[in-house]
Amino acid sequence: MADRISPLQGLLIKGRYGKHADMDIASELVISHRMCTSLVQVNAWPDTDGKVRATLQRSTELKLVGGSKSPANKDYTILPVGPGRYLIEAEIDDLELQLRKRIVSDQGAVIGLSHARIVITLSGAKATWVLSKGIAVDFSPGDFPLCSCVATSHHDIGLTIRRTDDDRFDIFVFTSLARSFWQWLEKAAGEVGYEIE
Amino acid sequence: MSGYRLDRSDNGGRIDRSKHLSFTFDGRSYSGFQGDTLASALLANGVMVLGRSFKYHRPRGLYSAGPEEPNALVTLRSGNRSEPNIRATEIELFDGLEAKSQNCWPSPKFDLMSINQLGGNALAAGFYYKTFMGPKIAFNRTTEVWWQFEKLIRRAAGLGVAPVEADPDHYERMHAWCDLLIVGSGPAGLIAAEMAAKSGANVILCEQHPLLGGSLNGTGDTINSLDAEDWAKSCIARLQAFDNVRILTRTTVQGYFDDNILQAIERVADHKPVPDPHEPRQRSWIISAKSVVVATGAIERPMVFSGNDRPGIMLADSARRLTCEFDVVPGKNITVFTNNDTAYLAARDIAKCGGNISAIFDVRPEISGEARAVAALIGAEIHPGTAISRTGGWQRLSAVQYGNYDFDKKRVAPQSHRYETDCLLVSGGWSPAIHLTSQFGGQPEWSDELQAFLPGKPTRNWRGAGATVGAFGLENTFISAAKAAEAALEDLGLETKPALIPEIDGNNFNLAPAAVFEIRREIKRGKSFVDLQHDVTAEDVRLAHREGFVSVEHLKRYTTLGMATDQGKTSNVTGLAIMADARGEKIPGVGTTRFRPPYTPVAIGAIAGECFGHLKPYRLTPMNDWHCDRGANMVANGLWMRPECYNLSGETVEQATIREARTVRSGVGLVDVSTLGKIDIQGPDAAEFLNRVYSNGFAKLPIGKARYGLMLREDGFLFDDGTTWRFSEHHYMMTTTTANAGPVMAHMEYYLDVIWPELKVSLVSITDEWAGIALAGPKSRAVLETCVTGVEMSNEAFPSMGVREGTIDNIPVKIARLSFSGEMAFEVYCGAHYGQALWDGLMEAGKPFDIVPYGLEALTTLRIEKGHVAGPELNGRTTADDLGLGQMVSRKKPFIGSILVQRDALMENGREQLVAVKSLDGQKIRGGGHVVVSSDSANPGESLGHITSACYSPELECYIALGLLKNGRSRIGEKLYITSPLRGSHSPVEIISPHMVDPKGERMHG
Repeated sequence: MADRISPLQGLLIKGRYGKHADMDIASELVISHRMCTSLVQVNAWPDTDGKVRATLQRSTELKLVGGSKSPANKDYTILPVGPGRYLIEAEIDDLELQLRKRIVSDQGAVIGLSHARIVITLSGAKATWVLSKGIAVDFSPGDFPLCSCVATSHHDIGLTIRRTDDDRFDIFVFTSLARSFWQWLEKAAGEVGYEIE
Repeated sequence: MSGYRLDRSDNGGRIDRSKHLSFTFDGRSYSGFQGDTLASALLANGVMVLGRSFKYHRPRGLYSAGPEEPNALVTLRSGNRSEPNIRATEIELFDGLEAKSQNCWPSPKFDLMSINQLGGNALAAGFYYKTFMGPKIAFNRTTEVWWQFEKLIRRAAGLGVAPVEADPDHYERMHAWCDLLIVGSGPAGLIAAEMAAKSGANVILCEQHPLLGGSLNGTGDTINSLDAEDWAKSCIARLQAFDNVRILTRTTVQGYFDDNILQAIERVADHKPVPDPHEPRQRSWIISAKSVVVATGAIERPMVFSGNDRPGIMLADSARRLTCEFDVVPGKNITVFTNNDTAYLAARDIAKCGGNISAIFDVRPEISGEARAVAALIGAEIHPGTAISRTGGWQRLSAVQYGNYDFDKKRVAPQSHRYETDCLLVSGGWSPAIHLTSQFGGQPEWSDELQAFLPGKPTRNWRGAGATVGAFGLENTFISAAKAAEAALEDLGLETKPALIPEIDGNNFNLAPAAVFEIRREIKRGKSFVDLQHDVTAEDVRLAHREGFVSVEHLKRYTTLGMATDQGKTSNVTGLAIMADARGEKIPGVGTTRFRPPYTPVAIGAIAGECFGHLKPYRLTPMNDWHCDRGANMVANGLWMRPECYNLSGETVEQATIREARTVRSGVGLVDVSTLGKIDIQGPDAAEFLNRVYSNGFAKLPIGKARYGLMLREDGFLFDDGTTWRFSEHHYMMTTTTANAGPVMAHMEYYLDVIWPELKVSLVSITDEWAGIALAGPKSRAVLETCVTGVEMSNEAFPSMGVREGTIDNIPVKIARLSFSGEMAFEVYCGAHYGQALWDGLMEAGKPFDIVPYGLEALTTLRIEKGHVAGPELNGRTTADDLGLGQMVSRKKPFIGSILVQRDALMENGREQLVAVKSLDGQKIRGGGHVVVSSDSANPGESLGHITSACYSPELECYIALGLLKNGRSRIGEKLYITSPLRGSHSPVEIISPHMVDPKGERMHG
């Protein structure tokens, strides 16, 4: 089968850019991106949310604690993106199929979105500074602790953002809008300098 | 005489004498020091006339040292970085700075437009209204006469000129959250910030100047036995050591909005010739604060008297700042005119630095012992109970006339005395800077004691501190700031320790001013300016009163008092006082206008931030790069960029479109349809939901089939169309038009959430999940037969509207046999990241069949020929019946719009109906052209309808169009005209059926 092509292919080329492009000092911002092997949205009905959560917890061995806390282990990440709505990312090809078998239509809907988003990762001491330029979310550790996720937007581009470490964030971006978002991001990051992994 | 730099060896103030900077003003070279402002450097170089006034073109010099500056507006930089109307007092000097004066020609010293001064009262308040609305005289209206002068007047009016080139710099936004935002870093701000920092609050401290400290910089006061400036430095050092305090200098808080959100503009690189690489020039901070301490201080007011605008006359405290902070003294022989004690403090500090204060004119007959002691200390003679009646000099002050002031008559005595002076410092009291609190709806309250408006009661979560709330004097300032911080922190649930109020020396001055705003004379002579920036005089205010414009809102608009870049910072209260006097009322009876954001002028770029060059983000399909590489002209279709056509060398758009459309009709073409809206619909009630959403039946759509559907709005008009595919019992995919994907999704989500919450239906946009390619033409099936695996492609096995799943080059695909062109056609969808691979695969498979890609124009041509409707026909004013789709509106079931679609207005005769037209003279038919009966282009008569979509038809070999025509279906066969007066076209056409190609659908179904 043909290789999957990222909308950012050819744009994110390994190297150092922006303010410190020509300097031999450690970058305070590192940017990378990935296509999701599997990204699936599960929507529960109002009276089946408990069952769906239980199914997801069994299937992923993760505990959903409520709110915007987004649990993860080495295989799965669950992002609660709304009441009874969950995005699940996994490193397995057939996640959609597996979940369809476990969550029948009386319990909820399973929608494959593996091609609908790409994930841009920002890490480093300046990640919060750069994100805060365009995104109206308080990324301070007190308000947006580790494993928090939020559905928000930047300049009409819908984004789902998850904190994966103290200074590391995954940004789920719509595929068709990825380049438009990237254009903003590279300009915003230029002030502090960045490295593309 | 003029301003000069003190010859000090101790490198006092904020300037660094070791760093010389060169700059030009009006092309002439000058020098200054690092730390200077343009204003201080010009004054140090003896430049007294910085520009000309707005209306009368009177010479004007520096009047203040801060954001309130009404006179010294310059154009900064040149070329595409030039920026007009910048206050010289706010510009930090840098090497190579270029500045130009404004509103004068050829120079500020000799300005031809100063002839305006001969106009006298002709240019008084209401000049424009009276000039352009004159009565009829003889055969003409004066209005019409003056119109001839309008261009000339417009050219003469105004201040700086905006550049026409694009700004090369970039601007940014920044979002920030904090427990406590402190606006202003003067004594009040510093005390509040330190208290908050110690309590553990997350603090942002904003200071508009490059240096923290506000009025403490350069003052002669002592705090805790330290010079105030040194005390401030130690306090700042402590603040900087806190991790929970973010200090933003060069940052002006411009607006206070709902939910305690404030906007501040940080001038990141304005103090440099150009920003560093990748550095924004300015940054707009959007600060969400749980609580705010407003410590913005107060702005000194001028006094109004005849000739009060001459260069050399300026605000007393501003002169203090220039002297103490920049080592620049505004004159050799300085006099002071005041109604309060603060001017004595300014005089004290100026003298302490080495300035010569020779006399103080004070309207108050009784003067405090402390003030007298200051005068004695600095060797200035006091003239109690006197006022300045007029001034002498032209391009700079040479002398003042003063006389005894009569409080009862509110006049200065006719007998006056002359006093030689080159610099007059004025102080008419202080106006607290209540702009932010007023913006947020706080009703200002008048203080008789301070003769000033105070912020009033907080309407939201803010507290005022220091001079902002009328707490003048250092001790009062510290006490009020500590109280404000304590209350704010208590609201935040944070523990506070009682503030240690520093000990102040010399704080017993009487800071309340006498209630004197204007010095009137028995004989009117000369102009007394209230608003220096807009040349509004005291007589203008009284004229407005005489002419009935007595409300504060009318006063502002009739006289322009308080307008322009300074927004009346030095003139509002004085103007109100004069109007109150004219009305025989007290000032609060006249009221005050509400301040609006921004506090100071803001560059449009800072507001736009990163949102420039386009209004919205753009969306790209997975095949975008291929289209671009093939030279396709990409055009916007909603947010999407789509190929218009793929021009071969030398082809025009029309030629390329005709070639592409012809190939589809005769062979095969493929088009990128990834932009179509796609919505995943699942759930046990999905079929019922679709049946209610669409006007035609969907309950019995078989699995593996697609159906064309119409969606109506509640009012019965058409909303959108598209196909819906059924994959399984409870799983569907809906396609929408490209432009309407978002609205359709919102429409359906609304119904699910609000109207039918009992339905178990899930809606998720999958537009980005699937790349879509349409293969159209008689050879399209043959192409697919060579490359698809797992799908039987025969006509019987895969009939029209069928939906199948298979693979192409091992890529999983969904295929539906749908046609927009009228030819046999298939839509092939795959995961978006495989989109380019699928496109390449289909192009390769199509090579033997001479496949061509086709663009949006050919797509449009093909659908017009077929009579298929799209956005121009689904315009929100048409019904299904108007477009010949009436049979798709069910009479058996309820659906959205089913009731109102039957109302009389939508059923009556005479509605515009979809028809096609064919050009009879070979001329192009213009979209938007109107259908008329008359052949007379000059008198085309009533419009019977209009053209919605037009093209050249390769199939019919003539220009055709779709249009909406009154009773159109009954007019088929008639010869009418399409007129487009704006484009100068008027052409004969024949009305024909919209089904121009293959009306029986044999090609599609074959």
